Amino acid sequence: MRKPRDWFGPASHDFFRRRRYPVPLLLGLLGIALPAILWPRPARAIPAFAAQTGQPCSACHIGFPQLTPYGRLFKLQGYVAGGMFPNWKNLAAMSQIGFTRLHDKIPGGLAPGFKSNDAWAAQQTSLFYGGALDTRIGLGAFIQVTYDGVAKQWHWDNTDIRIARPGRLFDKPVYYGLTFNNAPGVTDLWNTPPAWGYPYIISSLANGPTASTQIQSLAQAVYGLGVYDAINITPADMIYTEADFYKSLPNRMSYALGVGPATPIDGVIPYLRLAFQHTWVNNSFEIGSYALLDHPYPNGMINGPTDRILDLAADSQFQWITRRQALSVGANFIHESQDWRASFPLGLTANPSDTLNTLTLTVSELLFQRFGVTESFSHIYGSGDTGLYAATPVTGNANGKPDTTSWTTELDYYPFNNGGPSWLPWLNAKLFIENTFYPTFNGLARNYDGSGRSAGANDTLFTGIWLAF
Amino acid sequence: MKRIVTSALAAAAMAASAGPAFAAANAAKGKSLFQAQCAACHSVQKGQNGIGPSLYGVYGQPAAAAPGYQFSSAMKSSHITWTKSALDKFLANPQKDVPGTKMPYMGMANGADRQDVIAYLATLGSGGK
Repeated sequence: MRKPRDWFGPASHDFFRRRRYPVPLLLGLLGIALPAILWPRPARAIPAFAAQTGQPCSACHIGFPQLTPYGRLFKLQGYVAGGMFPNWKNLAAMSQIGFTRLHDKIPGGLAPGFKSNDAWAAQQTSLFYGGALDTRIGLGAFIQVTYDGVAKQWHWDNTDIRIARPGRLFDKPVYYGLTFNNAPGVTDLWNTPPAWGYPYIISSLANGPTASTQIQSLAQAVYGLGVYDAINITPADMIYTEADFYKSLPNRMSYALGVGPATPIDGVIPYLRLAFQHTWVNNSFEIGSYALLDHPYPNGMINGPTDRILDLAADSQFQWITRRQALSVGANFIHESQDWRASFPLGLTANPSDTLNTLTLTVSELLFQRFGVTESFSHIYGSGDTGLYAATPVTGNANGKPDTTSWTTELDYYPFNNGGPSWLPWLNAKLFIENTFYPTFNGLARNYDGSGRSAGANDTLFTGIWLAF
Repeated sequence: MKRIVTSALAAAAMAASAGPAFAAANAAKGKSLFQAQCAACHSVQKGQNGIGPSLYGVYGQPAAAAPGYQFSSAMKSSHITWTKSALDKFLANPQKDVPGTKMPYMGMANGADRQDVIAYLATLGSGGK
């Protein structure tokens, strides 16, 4: 989750008048971009998948990580197109390096070991395996391991190993498959659910809202198997269905995989996905739904009675992609029903049940495969519960409500989408500047934490580079 | 009305130029299917490769022959010649026909539709013989 500030509005003008960019920051970004501008090469793409397919990144992505129709089919079919077996080209690396400036500093530091404001961080460095394992049986993988430069530790990250087969059902073309993965929604073909949804890059040093839905919280804390299929009921109309069943990681394994203490959840966690996609010429439209149900133990417990949390979501995406531009519009709404049948009797919540809702609307435009702009609106709202949301300096909710509203504007420059530098043809990069503006934060616009901090104090400017090679 | 007559004549001309092998197929309908299903990745202009290779002159040509396009090793070693039957088999299920091809298209299930598209492809460039 991340939040914004109006890029072009009066508040932003004031913001940029008062705060000048550090010269070393601008020189650093220019130094990275300049060689690519001066010495372009024939288009190359996302490292591992691009090396396998020989396609430019624009074939699969609008910028990245948003998928195009080609990218969705590539993923659906098990990451095997264009490849046969693993080779060194299926290995890749990525780094996110950024500068974070909050409107108001955070006393004590943005994170342990970081300044109270205006801090650089190589916040994420990842290694990947991406592509075919054995194309003859449709086996391929996306495996990511990440070094968290803020928490200073390695952990497993998005993982999706799948086997996909073509077939026929009612004389219609079908792809069906089996997936092992570690996050509900990481298998998704559209960039609407949280796993691959907006914001695509967020500052690990910024101060985010307290409330988040369960489906967001389970990423990398679970592992599971899923089955999926996509059927073309007409050449232009596809129905996609998926059912995954997760278990929470055992505590020791959770530590071993670098994600800290386990999230104790009883039993199996089902995740269901249904989507319909219509495509025509350069356009595609998707509408869908997904759901997740789990039974977490109350905070601090690993056995006994459990709560019951149900996430129900609706999502939609439209894309219009031509050689010169790509437009993408997305919407995602999650309604979470929280039944505190175990926590409430223990006094951990103020209510026996609550609701939490999140709405995200995103519009992206990419011009000439180089210049991107994305505007996003996010609204989190739900029941007030002082047991869940308490007054705490900086991170608290003084009125006990989860409500947060944010606007995010992101400007991107992709120097290598139309040609990589000669010294590293597989290099891809995204130079970004992202501004997040909070009209309300953790329930209120002013004094949201009970210690006098206003929502606007968390307005965040985040700029830097996302490198992949 | 004049436009309808012109379109009908053009469709008839295309079907005729595709040759007797496509007598039952409809190249005009194939063009429409092509534009809806294939044109996002494939150009029919000579030498104009996109996500997929240009399909100018593809009919009757050996696979992986389009100049300037980086084909998968699977396609390069397929030794396919794009005859009517070869195209029909490939379009029905590309990944099944040539595992490892870059083309992740799910396939065109309807045989008549495939024939129409093939009839259209046969009208392009040096193909159609």
